[in-house]
Amino acid sequence: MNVQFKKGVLELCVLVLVNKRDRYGYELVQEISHKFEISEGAVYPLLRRLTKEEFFTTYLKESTEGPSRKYYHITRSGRTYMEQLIEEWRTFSIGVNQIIKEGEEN
Amino acid sequence: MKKEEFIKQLAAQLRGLPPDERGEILADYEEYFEIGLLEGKTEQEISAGLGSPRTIAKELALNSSFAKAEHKPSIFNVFNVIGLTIGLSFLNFLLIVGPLAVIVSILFAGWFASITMIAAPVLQLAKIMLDYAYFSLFELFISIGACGIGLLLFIGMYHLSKFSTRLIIHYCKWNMTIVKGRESNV
Repeated sequence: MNVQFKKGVLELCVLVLVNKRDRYGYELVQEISHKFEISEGAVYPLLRRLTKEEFFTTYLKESTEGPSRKYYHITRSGRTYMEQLIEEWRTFSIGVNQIIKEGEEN
Repeated sequence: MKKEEFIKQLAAQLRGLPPDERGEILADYEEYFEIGLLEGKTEQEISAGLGSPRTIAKELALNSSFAKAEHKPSIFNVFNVIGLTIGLSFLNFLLIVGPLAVIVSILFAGWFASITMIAAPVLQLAKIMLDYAYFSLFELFISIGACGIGLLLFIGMYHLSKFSTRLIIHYCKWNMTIVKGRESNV
């Protein structure tokens, strides 16, 4: 799949998952890679960028087993950004689906 | 790749970053390894999933420079982003064009030399016809000798050209797999 396209989709998925509840990096990678193939290494740079743009805040939390984990929490501007991306995605996917359907009818 | 090796390579790739930022990034990946190990994965499996430290470092550098340019749009920052963006594809461009230019110029020089040498006796005769006073048996023999060497060079160049064509095709294919590898790495 096109690289830039996949990057955009990955960003949307990360925002939606963190919006649902606070998550740590490993968890996000697992959730997404169960659904479609991603390069796991690309998720952390993305998380850093979203944090830098103040869409996420982070905090460390101890775990019952293993290392303490860095959790990501969505901010208000992050939520606004997510809603905007969801809207764009809907318009986009409706358009693509229509084109595919019209193609199949012929 | 083992965890230690991965972290070491990533640290080396991130030399340009401020120490605190570099520390944070490395901590993120260490955390990722540790959780993965708890889940029963091997270090090799985890690092294979993460992809190459180089790709990650490039991605991080691109992100942080873009963020900088957006927040503080100075000429310097914008140049930084342009440089990085060009750098990503320009490297691939150079990887193909650099060696290609070298091979093509060597081939061109070789062919040119061999054809000139083969033509030497004819040129020598032309020179004599134009001005008989210049006739020199020595020069004529030299030119005939050059013609022989030129013919040998011609055969050599024929084989060298065939060989380099194969070499270039192989090299381009190999480069494509690298570029593709990087693209699927997202």
